[in-house]
Amino acid sequence: MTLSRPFLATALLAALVLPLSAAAALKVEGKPKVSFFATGSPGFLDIEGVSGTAVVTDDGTKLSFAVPMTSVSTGISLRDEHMQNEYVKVAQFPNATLTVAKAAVQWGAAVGEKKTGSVPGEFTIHGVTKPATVAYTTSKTKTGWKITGKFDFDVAQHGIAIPSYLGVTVDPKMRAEVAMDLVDAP
Amino acid sequence: MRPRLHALAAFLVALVGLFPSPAAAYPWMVQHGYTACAQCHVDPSGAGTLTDYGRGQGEILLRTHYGKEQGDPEKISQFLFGAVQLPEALQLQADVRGMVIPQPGNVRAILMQGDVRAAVQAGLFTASASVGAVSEGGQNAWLSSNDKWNLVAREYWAAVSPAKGLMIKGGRMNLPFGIRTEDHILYVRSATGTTINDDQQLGLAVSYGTRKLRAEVMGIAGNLQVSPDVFRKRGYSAMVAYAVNKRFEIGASSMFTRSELDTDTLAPRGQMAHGIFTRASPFEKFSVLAEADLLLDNQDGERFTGVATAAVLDYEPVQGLHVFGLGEYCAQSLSAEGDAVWRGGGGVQWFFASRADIRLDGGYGTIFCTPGGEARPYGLLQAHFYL
Repeated sequence: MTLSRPFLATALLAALVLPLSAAAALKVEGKPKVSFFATGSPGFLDIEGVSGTAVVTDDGTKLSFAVPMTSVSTGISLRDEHMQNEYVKVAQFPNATLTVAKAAVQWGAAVGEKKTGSVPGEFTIHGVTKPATVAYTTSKTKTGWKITGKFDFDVAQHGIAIPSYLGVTVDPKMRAEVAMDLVDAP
Repeated sequence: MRPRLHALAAFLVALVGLFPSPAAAYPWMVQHGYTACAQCHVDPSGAGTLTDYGRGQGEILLRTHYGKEQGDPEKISQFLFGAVQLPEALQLQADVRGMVIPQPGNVRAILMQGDVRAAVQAGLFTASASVGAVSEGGQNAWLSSNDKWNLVAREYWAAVSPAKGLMIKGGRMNLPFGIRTEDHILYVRSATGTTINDDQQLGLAVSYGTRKLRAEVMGIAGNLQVSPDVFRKRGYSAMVAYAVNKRFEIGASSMFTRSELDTDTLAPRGQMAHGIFTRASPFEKFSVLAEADLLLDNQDGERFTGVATAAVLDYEPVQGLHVFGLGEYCAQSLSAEGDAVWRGGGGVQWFFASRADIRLDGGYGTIFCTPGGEARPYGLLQAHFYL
């Protein structure tokens, strides 16, 4: 059997490119950590909402990280209830989603190789999508990549009312951080 | 009654004067992710009158809910359970704390705290004051001078906040030093004279706080409720604390005071204390509070170097129920043989209902950093509630 030239060229190109990027579809392995950080005043109240659930969708060109907002816990159940039902409105808008262009992310090829950078993305929460600049790291592991990312967002721009409770008002400017392991999907 | 019981009863009676608990301040809130005090207290350095948010957390985080769904505490957490609608700028609070001494054949009840507090927060300005009564103890805060039942005023101050996180305070205030806690018999509090029971001083203070940092420095002008003037201490007290993260804070303190005559030694006395402390919650529902202070004492030209240390472990197996253990060591003079004292103990504190808690303490050791003090068993039961 002989190989046609276009096929051979494609195969060679793929052989060159594949080690340098996460070309196959990616999925989450293990337990990811997604944190949303907010501050309240007066009194410099620190709030961290943490989720151990994230779903990665990889269509080959875009990577989407979706977090069910019902999985986010701030450590106080009443505050979670307020956050989910009064502000984020999870019944209508169940997920917060970050989408980035896969090719814009640098992926290490050799085990232990670490890449850092920033990538433009789109962050959707409360059904409103706004641009976000994501600072990230990727580290090649034996089985896939360990990634971290963080970006700032403003809940007011996403149409979320500014939370205020018992005299403490939350700053609409918040920060999200993610840390997870990705592997090639079978 | 057997001699041993006699001794125990006498010791428990002696404790009456030693445990006049003041207002609440719970440094173990670090296990709930609170390193700062300013969210819950009008005084950004902690203790005293609660803010609306602090009252709310009293319902949400402090008390046991017995498996019931936490309701919205917005109304029930207010003064008098919301029966009276106060102006937004005004905070009122009443604290009652009592102790029962179960002496053989004689059960005594002592009022350690019966304070009414008021605070006003209007724009840049804040003012806070308390007045109350105690049946015994709290001498440094007395407004009257009876053998029993005295009026007390622990704090009264006014402040202005010219910038975010910055507060300039004047009046009678808690001294900024070490871990601010209601557990004022800890050596690190009693040996440095920095309890929130009755060790407040008149002065001018500047406090500053950010998300990570909190600091306060105070110029001490003396305790006007102690007379004559020769007994009043003057100097400074300062602390700074940095939150490495929301469950780990480290800090340092420094203090110098001098009085023409000391109330204990009736001689000129200069005292310095410099120390470090930490509040950490290495895992959920558990916290470690630790402090170590170097004590430098000049009693009429005679110099002593000592140390006071304390460590408190707190575990909250069920919300509202705290099991704690403590160990402490103190020596007013490290060079004097037999001067060192220690105490080990523990107990349970249960926030069993809205705004109400009981606390049982027990252990063995010396109460207060008294040179050569005899180690004995101790125990007591306290109850506290506020409106």
